Amino acid sequence: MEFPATLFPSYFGAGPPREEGGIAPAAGWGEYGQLLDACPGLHAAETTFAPRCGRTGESWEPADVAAVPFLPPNASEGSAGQAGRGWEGTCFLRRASLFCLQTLIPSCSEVLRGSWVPSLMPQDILYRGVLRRKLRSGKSGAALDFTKQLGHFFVDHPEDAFGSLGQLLHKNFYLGNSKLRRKARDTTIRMTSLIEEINRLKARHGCPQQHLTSRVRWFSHLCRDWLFEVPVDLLADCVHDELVLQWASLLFDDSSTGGALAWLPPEDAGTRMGCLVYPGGQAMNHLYFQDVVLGEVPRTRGSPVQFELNGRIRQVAATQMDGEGFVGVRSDYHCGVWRVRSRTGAAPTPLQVIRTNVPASCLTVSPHLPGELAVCTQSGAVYLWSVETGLHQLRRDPETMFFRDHSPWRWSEFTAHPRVLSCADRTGLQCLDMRAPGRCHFDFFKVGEEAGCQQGERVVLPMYLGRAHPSQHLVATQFAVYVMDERLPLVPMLKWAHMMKDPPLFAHVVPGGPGRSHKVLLGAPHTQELLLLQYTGGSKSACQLAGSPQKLHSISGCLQHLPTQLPHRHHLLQQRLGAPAAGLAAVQQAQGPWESLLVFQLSEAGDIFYQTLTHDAAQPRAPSRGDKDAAVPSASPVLEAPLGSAPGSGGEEEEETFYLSNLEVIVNEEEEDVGTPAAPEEAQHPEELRASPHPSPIVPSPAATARYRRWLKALFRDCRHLPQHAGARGPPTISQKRLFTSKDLGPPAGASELHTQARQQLRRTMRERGCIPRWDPGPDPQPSPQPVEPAAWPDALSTRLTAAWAGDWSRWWEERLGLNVAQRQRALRERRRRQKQARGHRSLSASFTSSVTYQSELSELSDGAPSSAPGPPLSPGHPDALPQIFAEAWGGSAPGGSTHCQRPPSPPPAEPLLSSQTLRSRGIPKERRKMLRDYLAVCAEGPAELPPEPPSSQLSSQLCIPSSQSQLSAAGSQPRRKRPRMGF
Amino acid sequence: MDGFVERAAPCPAAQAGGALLPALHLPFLPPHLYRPATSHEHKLNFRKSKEACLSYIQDAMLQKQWKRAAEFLTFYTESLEKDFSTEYMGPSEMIWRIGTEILCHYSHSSMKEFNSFIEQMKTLGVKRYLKVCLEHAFHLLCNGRTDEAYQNLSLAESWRFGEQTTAQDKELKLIQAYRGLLDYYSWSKQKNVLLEYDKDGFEDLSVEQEMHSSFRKAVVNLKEIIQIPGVWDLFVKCYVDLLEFYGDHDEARQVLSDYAYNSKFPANPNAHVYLYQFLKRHGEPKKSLISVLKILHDIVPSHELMVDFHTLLQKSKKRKKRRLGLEVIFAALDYAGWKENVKAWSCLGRQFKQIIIDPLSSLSSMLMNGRVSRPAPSFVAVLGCGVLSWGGKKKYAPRSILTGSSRSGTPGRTGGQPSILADTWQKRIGRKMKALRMKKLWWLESYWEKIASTLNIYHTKAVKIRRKGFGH
Repeated sequence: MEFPATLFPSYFGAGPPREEGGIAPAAGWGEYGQLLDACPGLHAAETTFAPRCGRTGESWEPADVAAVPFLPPNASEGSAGQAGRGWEGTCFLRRASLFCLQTLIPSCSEVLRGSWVPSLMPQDILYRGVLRRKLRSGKSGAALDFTKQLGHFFVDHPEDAFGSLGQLLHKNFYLGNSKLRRKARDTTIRMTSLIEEINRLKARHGCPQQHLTSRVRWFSHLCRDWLFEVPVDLLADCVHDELVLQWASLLFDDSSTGGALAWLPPEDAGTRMGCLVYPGGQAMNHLYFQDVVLGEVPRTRGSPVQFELNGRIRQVAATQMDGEGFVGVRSDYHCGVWRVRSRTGAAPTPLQVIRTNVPASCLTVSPHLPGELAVCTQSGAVYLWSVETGLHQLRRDPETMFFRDHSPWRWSEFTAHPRVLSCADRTGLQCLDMRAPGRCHFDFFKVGEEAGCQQGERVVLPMYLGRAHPSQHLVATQFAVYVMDERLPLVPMLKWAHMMKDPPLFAHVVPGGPGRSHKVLLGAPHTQELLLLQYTGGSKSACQLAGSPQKLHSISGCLQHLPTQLPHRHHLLQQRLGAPAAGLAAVQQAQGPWESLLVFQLSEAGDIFYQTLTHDAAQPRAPSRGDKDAAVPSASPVLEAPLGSAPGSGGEEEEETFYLSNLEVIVNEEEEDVGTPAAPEEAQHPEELRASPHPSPIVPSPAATARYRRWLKALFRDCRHLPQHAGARGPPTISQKRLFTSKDLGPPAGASELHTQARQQLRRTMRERGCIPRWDPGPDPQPSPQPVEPAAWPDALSTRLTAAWAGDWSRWWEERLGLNVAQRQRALRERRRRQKQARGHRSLSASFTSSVTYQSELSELSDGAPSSAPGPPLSPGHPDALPQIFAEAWGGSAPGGSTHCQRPPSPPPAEPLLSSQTLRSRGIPKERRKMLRDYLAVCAEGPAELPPEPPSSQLSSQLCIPSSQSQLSAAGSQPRRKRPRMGF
Repeated sequence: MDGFVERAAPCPAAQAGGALLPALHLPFLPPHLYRPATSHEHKLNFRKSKEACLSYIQDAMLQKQWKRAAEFLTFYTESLEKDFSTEYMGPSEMIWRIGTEILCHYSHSSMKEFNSFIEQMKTLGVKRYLKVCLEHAFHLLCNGRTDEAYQNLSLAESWRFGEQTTAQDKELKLIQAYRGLLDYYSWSKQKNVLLEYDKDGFEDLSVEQEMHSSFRKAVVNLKEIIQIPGVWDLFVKCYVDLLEFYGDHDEARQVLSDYAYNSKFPANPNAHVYLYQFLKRHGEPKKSLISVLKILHDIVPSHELMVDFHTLLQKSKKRKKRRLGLEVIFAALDYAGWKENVKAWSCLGRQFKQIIIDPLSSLSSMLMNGRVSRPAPSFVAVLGCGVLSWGGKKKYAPRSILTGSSRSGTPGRTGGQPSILADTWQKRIGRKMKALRMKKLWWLESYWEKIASTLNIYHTKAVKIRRKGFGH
């Protein structure tokens, strides 16, 4: 193989990285890196230079607006594959562990979203789910809530927790309600009150005044060490350790490194049929081999061959060699290898399985020799696994290679020499000769100044790029990707800061032919980012990055193209599509001038999506250098409007304003993307959606729409099959077996008629899952109070209330209002008259009495008001003066609103109530009469207030209290008009 | 390494908290854990909108929507106003990077716009002044504006800003080196002109003087950087070319051997290649050529010069060297990249021919010297083939000698069969070799061991026969 005659200039230092690391969201742009003489040897008039980065590349355009589902949603029972070939003797064994956290965390094991076990959420294990800012700044701010987990364990597995002592103490604990008899009291304690106490404690959770009662403290002291089957300290330690592990894996989970999706290319280009290997099933423990016919739209052929394994599949690796495909499958404690003979059409055959004591972290299949694999475990061991000869340990070193790092992750890849393996940990890569692993090795990649790394940078994914160039390797860290050449170790041939928000854990290389660029796809799990890089060179010329890297569609990006869903379904869908990515594979296909790149993506939910990129071969180099705005209409602001208005009407100014408004929307995140169906998504994945600020203008192609629809239909059908699991957790059900003895629960001896009726009703309602409105033969209603004699309360308030109660309050109101003007005039006149009188005989005594009168008026007013007017005192204001909507609510809220309240009748000439004669006739004293008039006058002048009873409150009260009150108001409970709109 | 140890091994007190930290220093908090803090909301709003804007820019650029990105960038420039960030990469640097990228890709932008943008960027931050200058020069060079680039580089070289100049020493050295490179190109242009004149019988003193001044500037600038550890293929080549032209062979040789053998430099195969080519050009003895290539063989056994090395060794009289030649070619053929290399395979064929001509001596010497040892066991395959062909000629026909491979009567698919094997026995070797090659059997140790034991048997038989004489 040729080595490039000149390499790009670079410094070479040794030692730890000097550059300070940090967030650098634009680090990958704006640099040429270095220059090289483009055509050496030719001493032409002008030397041309070639940059390391920033050269033009091939242009690959996405064919559709979003990723499209390739297979029906991953279902637990749906997929009708060939019957799983029992693979008994050597099958993966499930890890039998008492402290397996899956059993401890109910949210994980119980809530199945459709047919998918959602991954752990931070709320599940963190104390109150709080993440402090400290965590972002690198200091630990998380507090693990391990007592909660312990509590879950005790509740979910009481037999494991208290089995033997529970049986022993069974007789000495009494859980009934009745009092213990004297004789029994010697040996038995009553637990009911203790349980109540504990329940009360739970209810007061978060209350600062919370303190334990002595009883509970006494009990916990007494039972501290002997009650538990497993010593509680030990158990707590184990749970805490497990929680720490789970938390670590939440922050960064490397178990899926390498990806669990593999593509076996067709034997010869003519058949255009390959095989997709992927995991599926509820626990991702089924391995599927699906034949796929390539074409403009890839199609499955036949049903997949299915194997059931006893462990979650973490990684699937495959290579094709001489018509035989070898597929390696890694789960935590088992690795297996299958052989696929595409030529014969026979089913894949499992060849061998190995079991490891420590979780395996890597499995790669040799591209050189059939049936050879490399396996790494977290104990730091590297094995060569040959199907014929078994395992050979090449190295075992729990320490990392170049400096100390606590990660047990190891990786191994094959190299250009079939007897040389590369071994990686977080600190770098070494190559070792398996014929003499102890002696023959060399450092290949070091996290340090050699490769110009940043501080804190770690190797995340190494990959052998043998299909592109036999001696090239890809090394990905959380900041950058490096292309390394075995022939010049330690010096990266190419380095590019990938700027991905999540470390890339999957990569796939699509080799380009002579004169073409190699394509590398990088995938990140949590953000579902997918990047396409192109690079050239390696043998004749030095490595160069070709074209600017390109972002491909993520799975969750298709949410906005799906039909609008009901909120709960939308939420479900959002969770499903937002599941972390679990693998990627790509196929390049060419038919004459038409070239396309097919990219498959696998999510942790087991769904497989694909997208097609088409190569713009007509203008091979030029257009990629140019902007794509002209080509891609998505940049045009006109088309970005949600309902795509007529194109071509957008001038420069409009663009400005559009973007400006867009920016504003972004800043206030609550209002983000109004008008798209995917509005609530923002809250869930802020990072993800920030990346797609504008609603995509183009609609998916009809074929894609059809696929979406079919996929959705299948997804929700599956969910309906599992109605228990589909929704959120229902109200907790408590087993009553331990609370009550069977005697307590049995029918009492003297079961009355009432009891049996109640029982029947209860049963019936439980069957129907309804509410119990009220007991039919319920307890006797409270004796209704004595009927009120309206005549006994002649004051205005009481009459008003009486009128309201009787149902024609509005008429009363009208009458009152109609009177108002005349009444006010009269009151004014009377006051003037009285003032005149007072002026007439002004004396000390008179003034004294008047002030006293005033005082008494006040006191009487303050006394009387609360007792007689419970609501807002009065609300004058003519209904006509109110807006229509108010008036409607008003009319509706009037109990028993009869027809005449729609149109107010003409005001009656005078209000008889308030004339002095009537007042006197009603037995109201003179002083009181004046007060009443004044009071009413003031109210009439006051501003419009709320109607006496807001309809909403009344509505709600009627909905939820089917009590005796509703009986009383039965007269007014005829069908109520619905509130037209918002009301209040 | 102190920094590593400190970071990797937290003190015991911090262990409990440290366990809750991510296993990896992550550039961003995983998005599924992301919760905006509520208490500092009002303070963070500007920062949040800045981040959002940046992510839009990034999104647009990754989708190659340059115009859209540019419009967002105009908003992003506001972030300069409150740039108190102590972050690793401040907004000014991001604006420079993003702006450059957009201008490079946006087809409507002109060089003038680019220059004015970069000039603004240069004033924006002194911390990376030289880097911006260097990248600007790269842009000019890539667009064929060598003179402008040269001016820019000279300006940048004379830039002084207190401590900042020393902090950007690497960039300064690179600027000097690239300026030296441009000097070299102008020198070689003038040299070509002069050579033309010479041919025509003219003489031009001014051109000659100019050429010499270019030479001096280039030599001074280039000499400095090639003493710093690094990969300087381009500069070393130019520097050596200059020295060679003026006849300073010793200096050139010194530079090249320094470049190749200084342990502070990376193990760059090109350094050895340059030295080898230099020595070859100057007619150095084979011994020194072989020693150079031997070192190259040790670091890169799969280098394409190994074929030359092999032929060089085969011409040697010493058996030891010839054996080394075999080793070299086999080591090279082990690599996946040599599968289709006809030249190398014909070398191997030629080697067989020699073995067959003198089977016993080769055999005995190889076996006696324990060449069946593991590091180069592919050697045994040759022995096997040698014996095979030899035995076949002498009617022993040990068909089972390569039990593993004899099953494979499948004809090879690819070409590249050595054409020199014309005889029947040679054909047979060819077939066997091809089978071996296809199956890659020499990589399988079990086969080698089988072959080795069979070989031993045949060797003893052969020796016996030799002693008795071929009396048939």
